[in-house]
Amino acid sequence: MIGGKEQYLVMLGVCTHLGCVPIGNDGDYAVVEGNAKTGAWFCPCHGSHYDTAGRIRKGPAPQNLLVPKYEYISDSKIRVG
Amino acid sequence: MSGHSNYQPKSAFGKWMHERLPIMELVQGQLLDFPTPKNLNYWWTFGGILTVMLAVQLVTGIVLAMHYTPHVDMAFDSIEHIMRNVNYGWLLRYLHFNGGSMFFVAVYIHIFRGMYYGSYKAPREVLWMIGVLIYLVMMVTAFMGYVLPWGQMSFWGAKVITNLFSAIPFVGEAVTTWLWGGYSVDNPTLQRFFSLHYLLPFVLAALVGLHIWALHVPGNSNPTGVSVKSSQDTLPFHPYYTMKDSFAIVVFLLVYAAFVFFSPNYLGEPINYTEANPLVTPAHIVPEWYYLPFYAILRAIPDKLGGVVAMFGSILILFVLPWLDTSRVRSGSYRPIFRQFFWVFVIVCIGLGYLGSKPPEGAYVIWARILTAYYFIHFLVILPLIGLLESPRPLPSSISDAVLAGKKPMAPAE
Repeated sequence: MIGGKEQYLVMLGVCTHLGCVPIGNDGDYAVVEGNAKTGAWFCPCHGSHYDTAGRIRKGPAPQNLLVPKYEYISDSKIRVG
Repeated sequence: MSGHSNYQPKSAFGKWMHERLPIMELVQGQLLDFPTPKNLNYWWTFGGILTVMLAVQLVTGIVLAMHYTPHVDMAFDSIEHIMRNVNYGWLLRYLHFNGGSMFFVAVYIHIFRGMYYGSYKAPREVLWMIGVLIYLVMMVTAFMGYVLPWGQMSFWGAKVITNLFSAIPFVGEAVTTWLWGGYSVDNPTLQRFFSLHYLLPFVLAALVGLHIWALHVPGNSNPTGVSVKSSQDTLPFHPYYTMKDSFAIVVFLLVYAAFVFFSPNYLGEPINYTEANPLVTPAHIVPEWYYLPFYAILRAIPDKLGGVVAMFGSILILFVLPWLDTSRVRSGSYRPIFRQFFWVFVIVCIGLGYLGSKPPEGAYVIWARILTAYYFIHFLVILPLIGLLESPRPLPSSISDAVLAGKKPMAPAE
């Protein structure tokens, strides 16, 4: 179902530590180009760093960002859950 | 409570009442004539100050509840309604909001006073433990109150604190869902927090009753830590301490009023004037200042369960403090080594508070780890050891002797 859509990442934007919403394009594992950071997430509450695939790399969060069950029902529509 | 008066009703009504409900005997014995050590300093006035603060919070809170709406769609607006439309609503809210902070200022001074003068030692262990329980209930109450305005910090504070319980192995997630009344912090959460925020102060009042009861069995400790030996050592509570306490209360209220009237939002977070948004976490979330040391301990441990255990442990360890301190001398004034470690401990607590207000990065994290370790070492290693190793200074033979010798026990500096 995901075939051909690998360039998109679907995750739950909730930190697995204590439930804050991590800030996108931030943190120690973001790709740095000049002043801009891309990819990766940083949770401002207690300092969890996730990499560009949402894996926990540093900080107190116990798990990677959760990937929900989802499927593409058309080119531009996803059904989550 | 044993009586300390030979109460004799004077009027006919007094006699009639005394045979049915001897409440005036209780008032005279426990409030007016109660024998109180004559050397109590101003650090002993914070019990009275705390009672006044509880009363202030109850009165302002009950009136605020008449104008507040506990619903996610209306809570934020109802706070602004109180600020703008309700007569003296701004005063009520600022009194209540800053009253919470002043309540904690007083309770921290009260707790540190107990630690310095060894007020938790036999025969006052139960009195101390009820006090720790009061402090815990205060923290829960204040947290729930902070959620009610439904601003950004309210919402995210609620989310983070309730999520602490998700660290419990196996049942964590179920417990968190149960606390929320749903799958996220939402209207059911707000409504139950409002209900409990209204209930818990009355539980506090009952606990304060027990605290005073437990105080009145052995009587007050005092700056020398020497027990009362004769009536030479005491004065009746009224008028001596009613006056001393009243003066301290007025001074304390002056400071409180300075906050309320001149910088009512100094202790708050500006972002809490933005309505809660479940999709955006503020860039820098911090709890109210009185939780900061514990917040620093939570963040110092790079493990979810470990952090939560350390944070709760840092408060629960206070329950066993009477048995961790091995010294038989109560007052820090006669314990030269303990006194130095006491002040180091105070500085460590303030340091943790500072680190809790900083972002969890770089040197802040390292310092938070060092101070967290010291916090526990103070209780688990330093206190038991210095009790055994230190040789205390000679104690006065009685409170009266200490006062007459004009040799005042050293009071801690501000």
